[in-house]
Amino acid sequence: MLSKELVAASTVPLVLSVLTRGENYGYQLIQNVRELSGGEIEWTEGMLYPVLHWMERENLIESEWRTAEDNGRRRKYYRIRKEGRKALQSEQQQWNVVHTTLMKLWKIKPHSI
Amino acid sequence: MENKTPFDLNAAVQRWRAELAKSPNFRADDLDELESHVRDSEASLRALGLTSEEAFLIAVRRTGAGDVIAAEFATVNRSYVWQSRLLWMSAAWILSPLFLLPVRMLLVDARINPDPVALTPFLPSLTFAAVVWLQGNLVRKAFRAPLKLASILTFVILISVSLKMSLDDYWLAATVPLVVSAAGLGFFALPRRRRGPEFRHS
Repeated sequence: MLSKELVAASTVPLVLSVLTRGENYGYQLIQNVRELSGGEIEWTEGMLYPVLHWMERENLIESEWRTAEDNGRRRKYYRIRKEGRKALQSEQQQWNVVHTTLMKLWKIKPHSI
Repeated sequence: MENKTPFDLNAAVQRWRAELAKSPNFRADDLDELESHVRDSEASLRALGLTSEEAFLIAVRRTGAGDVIAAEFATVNRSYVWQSRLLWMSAAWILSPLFLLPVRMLLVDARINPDPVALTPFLPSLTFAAVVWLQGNLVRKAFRAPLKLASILTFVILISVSLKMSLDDYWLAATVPLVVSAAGLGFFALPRRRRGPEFRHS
């Protein structure tokens, strides 16, 4: 389980990274992160939406309401924008710095990503 | 064994949504999205073998407590909340002569001539206080809009009357909040870096 602070810091890069794989809606995005983390990252699901809306206002992502093909219900799909890809690059760099430094200090060989 | 009333998912979703809608922090679009989320969550939990009722309860639980989500939405919708407040203030200022003049005539007829009081600086702050108050959870959503306007107008009328304000004075005084409103709207429309919502974990 991640601490509150780490969840706050990692949400934006996680969302951006999932969206580089293609557009997605909130519920599916949460499922993807849960599966990828092996259940270690468990969000309070409703809390993701204010973050998505903030990211949209910052022009990192864009959204569109569309009717889903599987059940005919409307869902809000999010897509990453050019600014989002740029932000993700800088996030990647920063997370790598922290990761590599900690791994050196703990004398663990860093995983290659 | 007694028969339980069958669970009605749509009714349950509507009740849950109505409970959230009591907070002014959500826009209709936010509620649509949260509802879509809970329905997706309910459907996939049901596919695992839960009953619809069980699935709904867990879906709502995972989505999080209404007040906690509302607080989080407030951080992103703050500019929206302020825009609507400023719009209401401007509307009240523009419309108030319609109410102001008849009241003044009535008061003059009744030979009531209140002494001018230097209350002008309080005018915007009082209307503001009324608007903020009415945006809370105290008033049902449908009554908020007319009540807001009425309370703002009451403030404006009472204070303008005590100032013996003429129509010319009114327009002069009105330019101040109008300019402030316009500046405020422009300010919030500007794209800029803001602190994002804190993504709390419970």
